[in-house]
Amino acid sequence: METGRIFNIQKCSIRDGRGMRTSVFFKGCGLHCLWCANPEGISFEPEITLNPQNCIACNACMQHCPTGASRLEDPNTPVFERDKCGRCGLCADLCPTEARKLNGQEYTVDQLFKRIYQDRFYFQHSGGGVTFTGGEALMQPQFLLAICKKCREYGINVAIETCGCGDYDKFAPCLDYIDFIYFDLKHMDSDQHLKWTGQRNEHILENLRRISAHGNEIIVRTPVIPGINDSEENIQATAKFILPLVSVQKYELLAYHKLGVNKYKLLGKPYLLEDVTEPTAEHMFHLVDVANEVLAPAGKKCFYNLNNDYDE
Amino acid sequence: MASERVEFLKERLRDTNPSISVERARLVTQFYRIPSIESPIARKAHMLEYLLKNMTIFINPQSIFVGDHGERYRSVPAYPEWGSNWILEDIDTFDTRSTDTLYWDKPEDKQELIDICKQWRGRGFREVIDSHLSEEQKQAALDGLITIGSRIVSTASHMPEYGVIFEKGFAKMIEEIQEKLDGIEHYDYITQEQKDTWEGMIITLKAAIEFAHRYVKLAREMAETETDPKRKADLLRIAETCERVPELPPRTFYEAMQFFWFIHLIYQIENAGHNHSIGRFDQFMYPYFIHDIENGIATEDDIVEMIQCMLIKWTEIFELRDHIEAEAYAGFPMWTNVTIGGIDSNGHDACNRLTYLFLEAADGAETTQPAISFRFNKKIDEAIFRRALKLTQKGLGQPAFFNDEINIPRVLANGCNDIREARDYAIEGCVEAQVPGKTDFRPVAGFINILKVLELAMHDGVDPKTGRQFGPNTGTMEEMDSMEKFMKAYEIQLAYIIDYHLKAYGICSALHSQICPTVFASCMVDGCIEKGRILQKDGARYSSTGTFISGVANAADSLAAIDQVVFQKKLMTLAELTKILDSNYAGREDVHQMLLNKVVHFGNDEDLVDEYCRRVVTFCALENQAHKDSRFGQYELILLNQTYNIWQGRCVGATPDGRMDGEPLANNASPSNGMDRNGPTAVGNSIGKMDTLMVPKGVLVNHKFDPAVAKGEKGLEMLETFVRGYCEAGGQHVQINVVDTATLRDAQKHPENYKHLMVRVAGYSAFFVELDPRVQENIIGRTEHGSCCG
Repeated sequence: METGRIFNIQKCSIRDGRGMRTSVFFKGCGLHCLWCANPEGISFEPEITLNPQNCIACNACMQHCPTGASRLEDPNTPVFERDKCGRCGLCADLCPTEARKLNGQEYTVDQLFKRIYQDRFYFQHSGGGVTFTGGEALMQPQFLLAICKKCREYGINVAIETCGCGDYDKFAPCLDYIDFIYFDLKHMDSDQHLKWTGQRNEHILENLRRISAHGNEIIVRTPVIPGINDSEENIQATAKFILPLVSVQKYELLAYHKLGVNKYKLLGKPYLLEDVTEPTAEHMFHLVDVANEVLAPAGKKCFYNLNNDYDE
Repeated sequence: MASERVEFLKERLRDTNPSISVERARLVTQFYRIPSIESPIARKAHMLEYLLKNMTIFINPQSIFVGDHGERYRSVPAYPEWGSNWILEDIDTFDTRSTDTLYWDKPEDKQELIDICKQWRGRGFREVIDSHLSEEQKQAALDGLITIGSRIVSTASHMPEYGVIFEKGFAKMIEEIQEKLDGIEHYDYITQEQKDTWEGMIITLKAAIEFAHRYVKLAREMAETETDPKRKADLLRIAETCERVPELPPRTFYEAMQFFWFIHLIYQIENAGHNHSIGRFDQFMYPYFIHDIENGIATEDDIVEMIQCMLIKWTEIFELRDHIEAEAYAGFPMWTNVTIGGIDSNGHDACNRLTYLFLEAADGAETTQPAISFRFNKKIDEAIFRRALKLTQKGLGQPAFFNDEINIPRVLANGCNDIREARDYAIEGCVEAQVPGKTDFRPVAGFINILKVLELAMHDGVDPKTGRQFGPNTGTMEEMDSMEKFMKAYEIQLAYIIDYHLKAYGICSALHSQICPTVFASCMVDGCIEKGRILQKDGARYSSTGTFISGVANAADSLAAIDQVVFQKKLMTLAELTKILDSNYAGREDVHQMLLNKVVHFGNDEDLVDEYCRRVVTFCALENQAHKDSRFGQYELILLNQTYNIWQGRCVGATPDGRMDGEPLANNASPSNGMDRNGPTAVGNSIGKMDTLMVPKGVLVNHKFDPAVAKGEKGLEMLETFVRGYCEAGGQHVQINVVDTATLRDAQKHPENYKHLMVRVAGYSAFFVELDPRVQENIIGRTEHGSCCG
């Protein structure tokens, strides 16, 4: 049976598309952006997070870990040696405080759909539905197709949030079942893109062109990271790129935030952008103006949503 | 948005320390010293007449409505005839306690009240009831297993159909009652009681008219010396109005409001008690509103100001309570409830311009009383619904939303067989749907602590806190070899305690009918005049009594935990689990944490635990309905516990839901504190699966939203979606606090900056800074529903 690897299901999301939505986070991504707020979604493999603050030193993990990766040392400090971990998830299963947690679980289409369908009453009025995000949903195309078809069968609106780094020919069949797409463009300079995300951007831009040609409604988004992609040139270049794309009418700027920083610690990974600060609202609105100089003549629009109002 | 007058009245309310009024106690004592062997009904009617004739009256500066509860502004009378022992015990704490502190106006007031209460010692209603209750019954209340309601207050909870009363006026009602008296053809013990009742009714209605006429005189006197021409006009209008109402039908919105206030106030003067609700304000006041607007008598601004003045008056009334209730019901709630919105008796959307203006007025007045209930249904006027949600967004904790699709069938299933009447329901008290003017519903048979009952089931009927065998023997934990067996043991204990509780309350309730008739209030409910019987003797068309259950989510969580840990995963035996709980997890923090984190909890849309919840709730509902109250009405279940969850939680040891010894129970029908981890929609779905149609009188659910999520246009859409979806899922009621934890923490540190911060505690709003610190903690502990940004 087709299964997908999911690391989180979040109800009542209001910023990932129209209405009240359930966000499903697919595990694994082709990029590894340094600012990623969901670092537990980058690797395709299940991962254990360890939050030592929650540990009560009950020792259940140490007693049962088959490889000795999870244990206590001197005498009550929880330790996790990632290299030794066999990713069986037993420690997370046994941990009573959720100090150790497993990120990445297999779902069948029916199992996942049951969770999505739970909030149908809340989707109906608001025009909400499900948003497949991640990680990168397009990188599990077969499962994505199956769950999208199921949602269509029940009339549930489907949106995806993507960084566009999948194989077009593989995910193309999904596009017929997707009502709405948020497409991230991180940087227009391919070398810079490689530097900050680990990949060049040519195939991403190509994917955006092809999806747009397919006809899905798209909002392009750029997470504005000060000192990395917040130059007027970059925003201008992005706006220029989307200008001819028929399916893109709107361009949204998102402000960099540090809400995900703690997750890096839990994953035992370094956070390399400690020194970057969040952009000011003033700067954000300035960049909006810059983009709109390009877009407005074509009737397209760039926006930044500061006050939790409707998307413009 | 508030006029200068309204701002003045608001400030005065906020800046006046509530004080104790001794006058009523003095007058009642004087009255009962006058020897008489007349019937109890006549005696009570004459008592009210005596009070209305002799109590101090005054007209507050800038106030346009007259009638106060005590001898001073914002003073609360004592009711020694309802119980004086507790007053003597608590009297030194009134002005020192941390919540609902009450001040003495003069030092000699306190001594006078002591002297009065000493005369009543052992002779008030509470003491009479207590002499009829067994020691064991009283102990059960002290042990936190049950409470036995309505022992120091009347059966209260009156909700007349004001529109009908306005059309008649008291003069016409007196005529109708006189016709009844004149029609008696044969005198016997039955007709004699009717005669007593009808005569008593006439005494009280005439006394009410005379009471109004006292204000005519006072207002005219004050007008004579008033130098401000505007205020002089106010006073003359008061005089003119009180000359007309309640004797004759009101002609204007203003007269109708004053008429309304006399009835509402006299309920409070007649008896100790609360829960008097207003009914469908936007419906029964609408004809007067239209009349005034069309004839140029009042503008919409005038209407809003009148409503705001009335909102403030509602908030001025409160009652004297003991230290337990002052903590449990902190914030001076009177559970006065006003209903707006909904559909009309023909099934059409009933929202009108007055619905909208009422919301506008509430927005500007920012009072804690009354609780505003907004009836929601699919036909609702969208703009007015959104106006109501904007009030919610503001963080006033108002209004609460009620689902017509659940409440109308529930009213129909509870004795009413007319769909038009059922559609005309209004909310009384916290969440109880009733047909106004036709129902005598008593909300408080008491609170049954069903988590404590689970503790009994885990100890073969013994209360581990006291070592006393309280429930029946239902088997030791060693004998429980299946979940079903344990479930049966729990149900036997539940059935036993419900029966035990209703018997105890029955003693109390039957005594009400003999010694505490509410004569004036009986005039206002359809059926009483017709039958010549007071409310306490089944005078109303529909009579029923509510029973609260407390600790619902904890009980469901505990059952699900036992099922998962003991019977499914077999991690330990039930006996071992019980032992760990009895030690309050001593040395077993791992088990405590496992119960908190690794088993499913109610409020997360998890079928296993939601089904336990449904099963327990349905069982309790059916057990209650199998009993009849002292008027042969049905006992009906309500899922709420106010803030009793704290006090009743203190009486329960550690439980399988991961609760520690003494921790609070879950708030009302909401999930256990902090256990709803999948957002508000999951809570709604869990509540919906409970089968709310099986719960006759309501399922009270609180939600707290972070302002960051609820603000703005998108936040409004989110709140709307939530309420609509929640109703679709099967919710009966929901109230939403838009407040963040940081704000509440700061309010604890700097109460002086947060005098205006209001929170929904449970079926009512209160100022946060006036609450007991433990209640504050409890509110902060309710899971704050945020939303993720992807």
